[in-house]
Parts: sequence; C-alpha cells; structure tokens
Amino acid sequence: MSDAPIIQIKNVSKLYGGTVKAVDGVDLEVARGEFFALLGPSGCGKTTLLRMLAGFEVPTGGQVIIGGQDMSNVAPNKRPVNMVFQSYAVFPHMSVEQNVGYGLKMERRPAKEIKERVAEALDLVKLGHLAKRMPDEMSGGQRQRVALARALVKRPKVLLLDEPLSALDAKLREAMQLELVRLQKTVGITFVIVTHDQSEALSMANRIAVMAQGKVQQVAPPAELYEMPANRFVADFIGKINMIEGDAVAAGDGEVRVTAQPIGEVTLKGTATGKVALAVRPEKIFVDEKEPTDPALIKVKGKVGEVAYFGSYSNVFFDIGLGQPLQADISNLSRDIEEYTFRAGEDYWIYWRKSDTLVLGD
Amino acid sequence: MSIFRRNPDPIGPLDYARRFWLRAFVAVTLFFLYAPIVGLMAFSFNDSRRNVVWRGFTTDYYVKFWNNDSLMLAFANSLTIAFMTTVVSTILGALTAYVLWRYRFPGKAVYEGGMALPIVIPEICMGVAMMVFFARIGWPTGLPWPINLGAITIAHIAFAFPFAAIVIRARLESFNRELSECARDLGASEYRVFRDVVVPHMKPGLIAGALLAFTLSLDDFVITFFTAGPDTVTFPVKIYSMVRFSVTPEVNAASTILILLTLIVTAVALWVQNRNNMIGKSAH
Repeated sequence: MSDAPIIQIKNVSKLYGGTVKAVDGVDLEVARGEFFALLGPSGCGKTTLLRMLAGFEVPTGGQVIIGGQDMSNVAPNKRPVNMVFQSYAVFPHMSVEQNVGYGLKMERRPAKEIKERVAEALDLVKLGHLAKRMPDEMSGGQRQRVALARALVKRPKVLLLDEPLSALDAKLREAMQLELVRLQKTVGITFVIVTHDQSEALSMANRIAVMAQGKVQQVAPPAELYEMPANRFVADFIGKINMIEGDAVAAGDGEVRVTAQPIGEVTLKGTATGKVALAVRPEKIFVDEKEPTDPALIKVKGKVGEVAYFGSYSNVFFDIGLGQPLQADISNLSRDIEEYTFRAGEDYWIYWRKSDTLVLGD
Repeated sequence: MSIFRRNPDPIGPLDYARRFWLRAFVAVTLFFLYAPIVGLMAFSFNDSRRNVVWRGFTTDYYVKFWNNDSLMLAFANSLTIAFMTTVVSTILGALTAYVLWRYRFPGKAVYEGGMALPIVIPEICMGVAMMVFFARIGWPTGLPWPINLGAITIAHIAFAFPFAAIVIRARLESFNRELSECARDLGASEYRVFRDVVVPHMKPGLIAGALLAFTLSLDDFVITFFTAGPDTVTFPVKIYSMVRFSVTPEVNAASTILILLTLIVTAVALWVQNRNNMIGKSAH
C-alpha cells in the first residue's frame, strides 16, 4: 500500500452560506513524499482546501482521505497532519522549547522522549541554541522555524503550510525556500503548501495544482505548467505571456490552422478550435533588423515602444498593430551596450519558433 | 534648568502642549480634580474636632479609627464583599466574554445587550430593585458573619460582572485565532486549547476586570445602601452615616485609608498587566 496516494481528495466542495462556492468539485491526489503546491490568486479556494485537510473546515460534499483513512469524522486534533500557519501562531507565553514540545505533551509522551525529540527538531531547523528563548525575542524568520519544528516534531504523515513565506522579506524568503526544500528531503514527509506566489511554487514544488474560482485548472510539474499550460488562465497566471487572438480550425494529425492578425495563417500543433489565443513567452522571442527566412518561424514587423532595463535582460514592448503590445525579454548576451539598446520608434522583425507557440482555448 | 529654558523653536501647529491656554486649562482641571483629595488627606492629620481650621499635626484620628469597632467591622465587611465579588465577577465575566466571542447562537445580540444592562440602568433603580427583590423572596437576615453579607455580595456581582465581561471581551478581540487552531492541530482538546492558549492571552483582561470589579464593589454606595441591613454596614455606608452628624477628621482618616487601598490595588494590577503585555506583545 506504500505507493497509494497519501492524500486523496474526491469531488470535494465547500459552500459558504449555501451559495458561495469556495471549493467546487475538486479531485486531487498527492503522492507520498511529494512537495505539492496549491497555487492560485486570493479567493481561489486554495486555503479553504488546505483547511479541509487540517480539519478546520468541513466539506459540504465529497471525501477527504489521508493515509487511506476517511477524514470525515476525524477532529483536527486527531488527524495525522500538522500545519504551519500563516502568522506562525507561535504561543507567545511559552519558550521555544515549550512551543515545540506542546504537541508531544498533548500525546502524553514521557518527559525524556519529549526532551530528546524537541532537541532533535530544533537542530533540524538550526535553532538548537535558542531553545530557552521567548518568541518576542526572536525575528520573524526564527519564529517561522519554531513553527516548522513544532509541526515536524509530531512526525505527521503530511505537513500543511499556509502561505508560510508571505510575511518574510524578499531575501529571507529565498533562503527559506531552499531551506524548506532541504528540510522536506531530509524528513521525507509529504509537504502541501498553499501560496499565491508562482515563483515560490515553481522553485519548490514537485507538482503544482493551479486553482481559480474554486476549481483546479491544471495539475502538473513546474516546467510542464510553464511550457504547457492547459488554458488561458494558467498561461496568464504563471509567468508573462503574449496572447494574439485568432480563429482555429482542425487540420487533422493533431494540428490546427489558425488565422490571426497580423500573422496571417499558420498551422500549429494543438487541439483547441474556434476562438483561440496564440501564446508565446517573452523570452522565446527574437528580434532582428533583417527579415528571417526560416519557415519554422512566425514573424511580424513591430516598432519599439516602452523599454524596461533589468540588467541581465531588457523587457521590450513592440507595437505590432494590435491593441496590446507584444513583449519580448531580450537577454543582454554581451557587454556591447549599443547592440542591446532599443530606442522607441525603431523598426524590427520579431520572430519565434512555431514549436514555441501555444494554441490556447478558454 | 531645562524645563524653564525657553524653547527657541516657534510653536508648531500640532504643538498643543506648548500653548498657554491649553496649559492653563490642564492646570485648572488637575487642580479641581486633586486639590479636594489632597485636602481631605491633609486634614486627616488635623488636630481639631472640627475640620475647618488647621490646628497642628496629629495621628490621633488614625488611632481612633483603628479603635472604632463599628468602623473596623464596616471596613472588614467591605473588603470581604469586594473580595468575593471580585472572584465571582471575574469568573462569570470571563465565561460570558468567552461565550460571546467564541460562539454564534440565536439571540446572541439580545443576550449581549441584556448582559450589559446593569451598566446602563441607573444605580438607584438597581438598588431599589435589589431591595424589593430580597424582601419579596424573603432573604434570611440575622445570619452569622460573613454569610449575612450574601445579599450585598449578590447585588454587587450582578452589577460588577458586566464590566469585567466587557474588559475581557475587548482583550479577546486581539486574540489571533490561528493560535487556538494551531493548538488544536497539535492535538489539544477544546478544553486544553482554552486552558493553554486562550486563558494566557486573556490574563491582562482578567486582571483589569478583577480590578474593576474590586474597586466598583469597594466604593459602591447606592446599591449597598439599599441592600445593607443594620448589621451589614459597609465602609462607604458607614462613612455616610458618620458625615450626617459631622465631618470629623476621623472620616478623613477613614477616607484616606480607602483611597490608599484603591491606589495600591490599582498600582499592583497595572504593574502585573504591564509585565504581561511585555510578554504578550508578540502574539500578533
């Protein structure tokens, strides 16, 4: 049974006030030992879903199974999961040691075992030297480690993390991302993290479920999510993307023929038909003064508009005669400033590979 | 001296504390607030039977107060009633506050309003109502001390616990609910969550509520006056009866003791609360 999913969410819904669907018929499976992310904009139902795993919300419909056991009638304090809260929820009147030991005390473990396991957990999060500290004498990052140690010391089957990095400053957040990945590998516990920050999800998780309006839009590993988004929402939500509206008809053989201004007619791999968007990521776009000739490329003429310089690359907006500009991330590949300077009004050929183009339905 | 040195900066638009009229206003307010109290305390040491002209320093009236059995009994009565009122009001107030904060139930708004009623009902009405009530149900009198203080204590609890409940409720508003969810997540039962996480957070509120109940009970006159019998006189009621004959320095001495007692209790409570706030700061 060890390769059965540790979490099974079967057609779970949550209605608030009988009408508002916070979570709408979600089916998900999380494998043992996975680092799984629930990603979505605020109000998409990801936190509600996490709270249903922890037992703080009761599903209106459907079933939550953890470790093969139906959780319908299991109270939060009896579930084999532990949670790291957004505010860390470190008990202010208890020392670090007491905080971490609290869960074991509730299990009525002998004092000796508690002491050993607390020390072990604190070492794991590199807080061994601060065991006697009170929470108000600690930084936000340290308090977060206390919260992590306190949850991990219980050796849960699943660790739930609710926006764990949102209260940290940018630098600390990056460090904590790496740390969480390291920690997850060390303890081998399944992590389920809720976040609205796509870079956080992409950099940490093995698999990501993108949610919007209570529904799961796509479940995939990070690279697949970025390069093969299932629909417009996912493509738009993850990273930057250019979309050119067009009409598609099936051309057989897994291909569609798309007509779009100002590109004209082009045959691409894809299945969506009718109103579609041709989508291409800005970093997959090239520019040149000369017209490219390769038939495997899609090309348009454009005028330079706004330019934002970021050091390693420039984000250049080209006017291609559509309502919204086409943006390209041009890497600054040499120290030749002149070559990589774009001036407003200059004409360029903008092109990208057909194979880098997505045909997205709604 | 730095406080007398003229500040060379011009007075800014928000520098209210540096305007003459505002300073004068504050000074006058403080004078009328504290001069009578300081006067009362000073004249408790006046070596005169009448309380008008200063005749020299004496502590005789404190000795007299100490030896006045009926006054001492009133004092003991007051402290006993205040103590019992404090304990019961704080517990009752804490439970009320917790119920109102934690749960949703039909008629909650009505319950909340009803609970706060003793705060807005004129004290004189409460007093008369209590008197009539105890007479109507035939509350026994002439019981041995301290059981004979039961009626007054019940009346005091009835009007003091809403104050405690409101203070504790206000404190609970700042509670981070994730703390209780977290405790639950770590395996605590509802009761353990209350004991281990909610009560420690409530503590400053409990102290403030207890203090409020204590001082309300200790110096209450109106309600006590209507519920007190001949052998259950409290300190304020006793002072009132003494003043009806004449204001002797003995009354001053008794009042001074009452003021000092209140001040000490307040100071201790504030100190404890301050210390707790330092600890509780990181809760949010």
